[in-house]
Amino acid sequence: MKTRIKIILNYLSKFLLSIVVLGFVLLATLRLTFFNESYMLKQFEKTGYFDQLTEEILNKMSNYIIQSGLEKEVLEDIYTKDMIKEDMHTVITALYHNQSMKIDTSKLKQNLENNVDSYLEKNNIKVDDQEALDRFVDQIADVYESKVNLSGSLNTIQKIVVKIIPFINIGLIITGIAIVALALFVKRYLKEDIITIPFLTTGILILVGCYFFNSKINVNNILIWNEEISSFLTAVLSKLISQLKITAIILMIVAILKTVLSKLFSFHK
Amino acid sequence: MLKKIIQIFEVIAKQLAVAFFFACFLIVIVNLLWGDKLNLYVSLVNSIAIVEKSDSNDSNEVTSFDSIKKRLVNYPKWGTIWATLKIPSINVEAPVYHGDTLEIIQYGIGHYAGSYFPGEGASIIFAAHNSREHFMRLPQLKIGEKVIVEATYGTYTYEVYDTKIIKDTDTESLKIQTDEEILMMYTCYPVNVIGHKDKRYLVYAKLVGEEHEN
Repeated sequence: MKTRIKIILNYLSKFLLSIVVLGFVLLATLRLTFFNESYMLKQFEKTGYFDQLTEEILNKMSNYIIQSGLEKEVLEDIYTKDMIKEDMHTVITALYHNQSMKIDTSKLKQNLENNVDSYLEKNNIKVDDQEALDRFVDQIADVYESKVNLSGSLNTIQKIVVKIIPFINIGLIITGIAIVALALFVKRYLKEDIITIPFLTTGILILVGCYFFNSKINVNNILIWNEEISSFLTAVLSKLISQLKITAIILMIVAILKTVLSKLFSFHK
Repeated sequence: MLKKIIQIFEVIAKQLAVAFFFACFLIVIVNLLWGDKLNLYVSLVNSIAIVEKSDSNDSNEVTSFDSIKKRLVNYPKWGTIWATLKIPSINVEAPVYHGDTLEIIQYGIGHYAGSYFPGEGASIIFAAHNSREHFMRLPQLKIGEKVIVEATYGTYTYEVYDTKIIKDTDTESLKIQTDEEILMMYTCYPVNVIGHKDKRYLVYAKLVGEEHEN
């Protein structure tokens, strides 16, 4: 009877440990990727997002040139890729720290005003309506700001991110404590191996989950907000899935290696 | 040695079997408890996964006019040219595109996709920049002058009956109605001011003649 109870407790503990390890791995992956400011900033760089955005901003600004009566040359060098990176950095930092996502467009406006003044002087054009010109400058600055902070859509994301991060942190603490507690229980009272089955189970579940995700969700064709963000999200999601698969394989290899090494040591004894 | 290897494999196989059983058990529980929700979330995500269809079948579909129903058959694709606008009195001849985004009207006259097409007996809205090639001279158009739309399915002649200057936020003056065929054309105003114009010059023209292609 005691042996039976011990066996049931053994498998039950390992089952619970599997769930907790899976939870810990998933929460840790989320916390180190989507909910990690520096990771996301690195991904923006790696996926070529800034290059795409630099070009797209110019294309959008060009749409306002014809109706303004000016030429496209007034848009030359009013912003740089480094300016975009800096402003994205501000926006992403604000996103993760619940701050205002307003960016400073004063430098861009100044550059544009200088270019417009040069153009008008060069072509001997007199401005009758300064307000119209000021509105044009504001319009161009709005185009820049709305492309960088996605027209304020990130405010909605910010509310979600700011709420979720504390939950993830608490989840990590709880699952961490649960892993330690269950591991100690299994090791000390049941005197059983604590790594192999939980790691193998977690590995299998992650691999199944990734397969399900890839087969059911058309990640490569996701279109949200605009093409640049969609390409970025697709790249990040694909990378996340790859990382999870690698984590799963590592967990399974560690589990199998642990068993092999334990057995080899026991043979030598 | 072989015996030891077999023993190791047996242990690994047992543990894999247990792990597999645990995984299947968890998957069944998750499916029972949250299967419907998961499917809903998957379909929601897939609804933003846009797959473009190939154009091979569309190239053979020609826009034509059904004179009984007074509706187009095979509407033009977004962003394509479907007509030429001619205003002889102000020397305008420009392609008309389906759609009126800022990207489209860089190249010609934009047709507001929420309005109707010539021949359908309702409101038609054209927008264009006040550039030399397009609507710079629109304010010079006088009452009684003719506007011709040469569509791929027929030619339609309109006569100007009214003009007005409106705010860029005024949508009331561009209301869509289905009682009679009215062509409304607008551009940024004043045309010769440098900068962002917050007014629009709007021309109204009514249908006075039509010829359909058979």
